[in-house]
Amino acid sequence: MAGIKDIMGALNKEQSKANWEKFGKAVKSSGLKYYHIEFDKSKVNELEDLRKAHADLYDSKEKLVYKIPIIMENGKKIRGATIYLKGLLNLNK
Amino acid sequence: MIKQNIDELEEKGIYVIREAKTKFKNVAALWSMGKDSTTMLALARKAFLGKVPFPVIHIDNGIDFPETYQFREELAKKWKLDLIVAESEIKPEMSGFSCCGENKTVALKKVMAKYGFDALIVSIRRDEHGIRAKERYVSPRDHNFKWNYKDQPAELWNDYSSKLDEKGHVRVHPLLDFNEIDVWNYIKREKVPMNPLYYSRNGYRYRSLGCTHCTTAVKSNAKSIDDIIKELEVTKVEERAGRDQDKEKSYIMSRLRALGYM
Repeated sequence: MAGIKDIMGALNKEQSKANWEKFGKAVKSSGLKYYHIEFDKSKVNELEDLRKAHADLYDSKEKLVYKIPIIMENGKKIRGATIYLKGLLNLNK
Repeated sequence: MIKQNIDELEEKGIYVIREAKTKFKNVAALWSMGKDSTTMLALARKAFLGKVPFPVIHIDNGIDFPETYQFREELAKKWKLDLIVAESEIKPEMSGFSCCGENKTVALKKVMAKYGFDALIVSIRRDEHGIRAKERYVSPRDHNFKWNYKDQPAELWNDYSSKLDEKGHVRVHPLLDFNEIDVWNYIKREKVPMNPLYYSRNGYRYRSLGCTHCTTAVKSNAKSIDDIIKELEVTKVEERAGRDQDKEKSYIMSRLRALGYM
């Protein structure tokens, strides 16, 4: 997972569309299998709550491997980025 | 939960979809990739010889479940859907009312204006929520998308109003009389492909799907359609127990729907 480690580092610094697209392409070959989205609070009331949220990414043995944010900032436009987690499975924990 | 005759429900749903396609010039359907809107698409395919004859719109704020996106892509390809993804931005305030209102209804207004749709097929059901129980099969919205639920046309003897406010549109609801269990019985009978999040994993499943931040899983061991049907026959938990927007202030769904939300 050497490649994806660099992508993760970039993504944690900057949630740009370009970084998310790199992540989306790398997911299949990354060895990651599950995700679980964690919110800082039990209820998301504002964008800041979503900024503080992250996805825990697990491998096939359900071992936590990475944490990444779940939003994408494209200039002033802010959207969710969960589409780039496509291919991973919800852990429903 | 009351089970109904799904042949009759199917017949009425198909009739409503065909009427909408005939009576209105520019029809589209909303698709959230959930069980109801996917069932509606299955009805539309049956009504029009295997093809969905109108565009399907997904209002996407980017925080749906990854499985939902995967399902969207697979089914859109398999059923050759004319898919319009209306991307919505996330605004600073994200509580249920402003999130579903500002983020989703605004994006819907934009896409309706862009394509000039005069009828929108929406897969709500009367048994989901009190305010949805007040709906009609064909329900007018004014030019501001507002719904006057205190003044709705009567729908006697399958006679539906197709009168439009100038620059307004109508919402068409072919699944209005289905119950949750009828939807699952129909999915089973017609082998409708389904979002995998509905099936239990680690003792939890999603019973009603929305965005990741406002939907929680409910305890369930239902791993198949048969399990889900069995569970629904005895459950006392309401369908939208995992949806935040229903737990906010009272009348939030009334306010959202009156302002144009689905």
